[in-house]
Amino acid sequence: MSTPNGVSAMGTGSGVLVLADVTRVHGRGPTAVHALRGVSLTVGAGELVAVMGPSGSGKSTLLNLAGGLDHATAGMVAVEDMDLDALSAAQLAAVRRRHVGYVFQDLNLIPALTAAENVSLPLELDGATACIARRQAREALAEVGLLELVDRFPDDMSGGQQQRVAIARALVGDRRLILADEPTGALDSETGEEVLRLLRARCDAGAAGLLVTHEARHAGWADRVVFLRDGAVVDETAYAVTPQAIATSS
Amino acid sequence: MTITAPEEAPPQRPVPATGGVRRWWRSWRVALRVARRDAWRDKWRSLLVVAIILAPVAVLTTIDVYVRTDNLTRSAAWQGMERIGTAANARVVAGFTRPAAQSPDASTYSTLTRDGRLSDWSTDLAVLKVQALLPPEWRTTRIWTDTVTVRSGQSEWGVNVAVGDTRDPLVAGTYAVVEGRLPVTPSEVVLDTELANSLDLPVGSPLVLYSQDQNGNAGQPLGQATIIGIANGPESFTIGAMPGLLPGDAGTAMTTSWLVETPSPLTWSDIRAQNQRGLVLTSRSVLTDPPAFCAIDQACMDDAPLPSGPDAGEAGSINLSMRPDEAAALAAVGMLALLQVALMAGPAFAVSLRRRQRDLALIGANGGTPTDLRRAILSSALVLGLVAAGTAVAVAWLIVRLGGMLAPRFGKSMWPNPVLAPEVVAVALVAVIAAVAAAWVPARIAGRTDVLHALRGRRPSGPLRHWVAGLGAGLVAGGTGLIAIGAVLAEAVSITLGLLTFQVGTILLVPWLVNALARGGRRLPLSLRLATRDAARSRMRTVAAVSAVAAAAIGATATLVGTASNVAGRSHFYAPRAQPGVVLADITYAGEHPERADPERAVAALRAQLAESLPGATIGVARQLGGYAANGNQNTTVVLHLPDCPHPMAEDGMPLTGSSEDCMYSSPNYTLSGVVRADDQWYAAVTGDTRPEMRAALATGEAIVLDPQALQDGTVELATTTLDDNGETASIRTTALPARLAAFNIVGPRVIVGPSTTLPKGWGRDGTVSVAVVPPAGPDGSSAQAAVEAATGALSAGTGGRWTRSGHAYLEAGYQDDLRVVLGLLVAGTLALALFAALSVTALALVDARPDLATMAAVGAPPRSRRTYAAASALVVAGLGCVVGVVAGLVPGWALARLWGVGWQSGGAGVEGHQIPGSDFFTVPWLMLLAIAVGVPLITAAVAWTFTRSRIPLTRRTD
Ligand SMILES: Nc1ncnc2c1ncn2[C@@H]1O[C@H](COP(=O)(O)OP(=O)(O)O)[C@@H](O)[C@H]1O
Ligand SMILES: [Mg+2]
Repeated sequence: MSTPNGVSAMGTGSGVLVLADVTRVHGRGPTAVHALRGVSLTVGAGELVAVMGPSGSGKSTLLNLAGGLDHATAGMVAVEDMDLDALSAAQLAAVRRRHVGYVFQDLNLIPALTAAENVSLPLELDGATACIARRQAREALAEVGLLELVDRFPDDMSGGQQQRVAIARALVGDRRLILADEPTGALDSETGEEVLRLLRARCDAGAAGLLVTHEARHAGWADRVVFLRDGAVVDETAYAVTPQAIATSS
Repeated sequence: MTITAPEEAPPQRPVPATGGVRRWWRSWRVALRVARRDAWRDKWRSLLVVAIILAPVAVLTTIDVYVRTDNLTRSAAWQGMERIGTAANARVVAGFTRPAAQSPDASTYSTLTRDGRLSDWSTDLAVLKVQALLPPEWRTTRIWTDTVTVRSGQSEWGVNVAVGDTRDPLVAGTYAVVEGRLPVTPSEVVLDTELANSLDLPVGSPLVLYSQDQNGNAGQPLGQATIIGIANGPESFTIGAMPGLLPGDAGTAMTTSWLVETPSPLTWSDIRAQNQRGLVLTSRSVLTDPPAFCAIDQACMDDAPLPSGPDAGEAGSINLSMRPDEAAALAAVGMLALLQVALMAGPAFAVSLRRRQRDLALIGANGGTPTDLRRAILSSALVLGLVAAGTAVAVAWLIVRLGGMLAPRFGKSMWPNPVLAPEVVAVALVAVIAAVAAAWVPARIAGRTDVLHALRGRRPSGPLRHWVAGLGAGLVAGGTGLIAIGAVLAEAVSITLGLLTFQVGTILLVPWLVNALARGGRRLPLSLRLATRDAARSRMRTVAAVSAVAAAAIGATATLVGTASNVAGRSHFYAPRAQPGVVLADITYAGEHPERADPERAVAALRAQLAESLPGATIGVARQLGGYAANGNQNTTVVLHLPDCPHPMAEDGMPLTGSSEDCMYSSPNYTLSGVVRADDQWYAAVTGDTRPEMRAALATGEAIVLDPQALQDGTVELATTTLDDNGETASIRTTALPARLAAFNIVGPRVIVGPSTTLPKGWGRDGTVSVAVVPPAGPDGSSAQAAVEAATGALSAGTGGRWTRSGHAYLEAGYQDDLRVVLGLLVAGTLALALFAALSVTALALVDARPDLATMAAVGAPPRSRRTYAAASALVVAGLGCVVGVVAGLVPGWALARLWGVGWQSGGAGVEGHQIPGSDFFTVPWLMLLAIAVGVPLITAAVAWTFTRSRIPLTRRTD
């Protein structure tokens, strides 16, 4: 499925997300912080890649660059063959609406909007009619098994439900790249597993996923694990010890 | 976990009562100290709150300080001080050969009888003898007054001249120079502001001073001087001059005084000692600190007032008493103003609560009671209110002090230090009340702080209480009832009380409305949906801001409706004086021999003049009939009137004015009234009636009656009442003239006769001449008016002032009102308040929405989302406030329409309408109201959009 040095094996153009030799420096001079140093990474369709590393190692920075929320100081970031560096702010916003879905640790949802409204947010922002947006939102919520919550407000949901709504939103429309930054950080382990299972299922259905986590147990759901330290990739496992892997290998 | 401890937690152990008080005081002291530091840490918000409260309170305190200070300048002590000036410390007013007694301000003084009573007679010493009484160690300068006559144009003025060596430094401060300088030679004089305005002579022009003859008219010229400046002394209508200007001029003892500089200040006992020597004087130190045992203006011995004396002046005092209903209305208006201030400051305290939410939660988690939490918010209100109160007093003091620098311009020579009376503290404390009121709801909510929610960062907001909305609806209904009663009775008290109730009810309804809007806004576009829901989620601050806007809009709407209705009534009852565009001018003969007046020549001169300046103008002429007439040796009054009416001058010789509907009294504003002799052109210009039969009537001696009630059986009956000198009716004669009706609503004449109609003898001479000028098509009205002004002015000059124009030439331009500015200001004021309230709340909403905006960015919202969100928030607050305000404002608006509403009643033909209570005119200025309901919110949203940066926080750090 992938070589130990998977990055070079997968050429540009074959991945949904491609980072090539990406560097991100905050500030300049003696106080400059090198959040990422020459990171290369490709995530293909149907693949879930976990990013692990200690706090401050650049995991969130990596995700922000992948979603066009932040600009690389050097190197290239491409989403579905689009070089993000070449896009304007408005075009980047459009990329996030149509190609990239985010899931954060918490505060994913807008508390003033219902579950359905939260899910249809990217569609509405993209100019979809309320009717179509709502139908697609219902479908997305149904896929994550939350159809009964469509008109509930986030304050009236459990943390796990909120994260599942966030995943539904990340996938609504034709988006094929999910960026999840510690989506289980605020959840108890059982709910966390449930959220990851959902993520895994979405990737199996064809999406590309990049998952930041610092729990090895969660990384087990990924196809590959990338280890970051001080902004650089220090290790990369070809396959993780997933429950399935244990099952098949034994 | 909600803190459910009772309001005042019962002490665990019995505590002595004083201990409770002490503990209470101690905890307040701690809270106040924390609040003070907190206010300092968050300077800008504190400044904002203080500014909101300060503005209205500073106005109140300034009024108070001004009135008090102005009252002081009217006091005897202050006026005595003005006469002493700034360099001298005492002033000798009079001198006698015998011991004298005086009041501390020397407004009352006399010599003493042997038994120590004030004598009612006294002999002045000659000036030189008084001078000799002055102790040699005193430095003195003498000033005295004289009376002269001065002329300016046709008029003469009897004025005082204050003579003194103005170069002497002791004179300093007795004059305040407004323009130019004080005289230094006998050929220079200064005038005071009032005199200069009356004489209308510029600085630099010459002035001749004449003696006054027995009748007060100008006699011999006494001297001539140049007006070198304008300076105000203690007395108005006074010329300031140097000795030597007036011949033989030394003043009498009565009019002479001495400004004195003594080695040490003169005390009351020093004055008593000088009284023994016959001198009467004022001293600065006694005026500022009068002896305790006597009134300042009552003659007084060493330890007690003198039992009797010649007329003691009465101390002036201002009567502030008010009728109870006026007081109630005023109190209600005051409450409304207070409410508005509290509402404006409310959002700021809501933020304070939000900002300190974590602190409060920690206090709660560490065992603070709800009282402690409330106290934390209330104490910061107390601190800010006190700061605002103190600043208000300081601002008032400063304004009155600085305003004093302008005192000379208003004819005052000196202005005292601002007076801070005790009640100014009470007025300033309004600031504290407003602040505490503004913080009340946030404090109550703080008392209910849910510790866990607060620590998790949820917004503080109490649950929506339906009984509050119910109470609000009840108050609105009650207020409407009160307003309706007041409106029907056209009575202000219940209207204002009703308005207050209504306003409070509206505010209580706002939370429910905000909630309803959020719930009903499901189909709104995204930003508006977010804004309405966030508004409901942060209900406390939203309600405060919306209520503030609504209150302002209610006020503006009510005033707009009231004013518009008033205008509608006025314009409905407006009676013109002539046809639109016609210029009227009245000229009267002011010469000494009325029988020699030649009105035909005067009119001919006018016609000639106007033929040049207004070629093509039609000129009509009318004359007033009836008036004063010389009858033998007696001056009798002859007035034409309708037979059933009392003589217009029957009561105490003063003319009655148009208060009776049917009687032919003139309005004081119009020279022509009653019966008028007019030519065709005048008749047509004034009434617009050009029917040939009317012309024929005027030509054949028939009268034209403008008032249906005056016409009976084709005739009009006119009475001539002659009054004798005592105002008694001497004789009444009536005459009937054939007449026809032309019912035009014209102010002025009621009966018109033609030029050739012969009237019975004794009807008096034709009086005032009225010219009606119909300008040729082309020049606008005001230039025609100017031409007529010029022509009548030239006539006056050409006849040596014997023919003068009364008042100004009048241009009939239909109903005029200059309310547009006032109404525009009302709308603008509402806009300002809405901007203020909505934008401050929008700023808060943006802070709260930060994480949501970041989420939106991650989901792909365009960069302008932040601006759109800001505009939507502003639109929600301003829009809800304005729409609620305009709708609600129609109720009090209707009441005001009844109240101010043109209580106008037409006075009948020829007579101006007058006000009657209650009115059925109800005009809604829809355009203005639309501007408030729609325009103001849109402008507010646009401003919010413009001033919000579009950068939204893209990345965020959640770890
Ligand atoms: N906006 C920023 N300004 C300065 N330094 C930043 C900024 N964002 C991240 N960093 C720094 O970059 C490094 C990587 O941060 P981050 O990607 O958030 O780490 P992680 O998510 O792995 O904990 C850290 O040292 C962090 O302090
Ligand atoms: Mg991180």
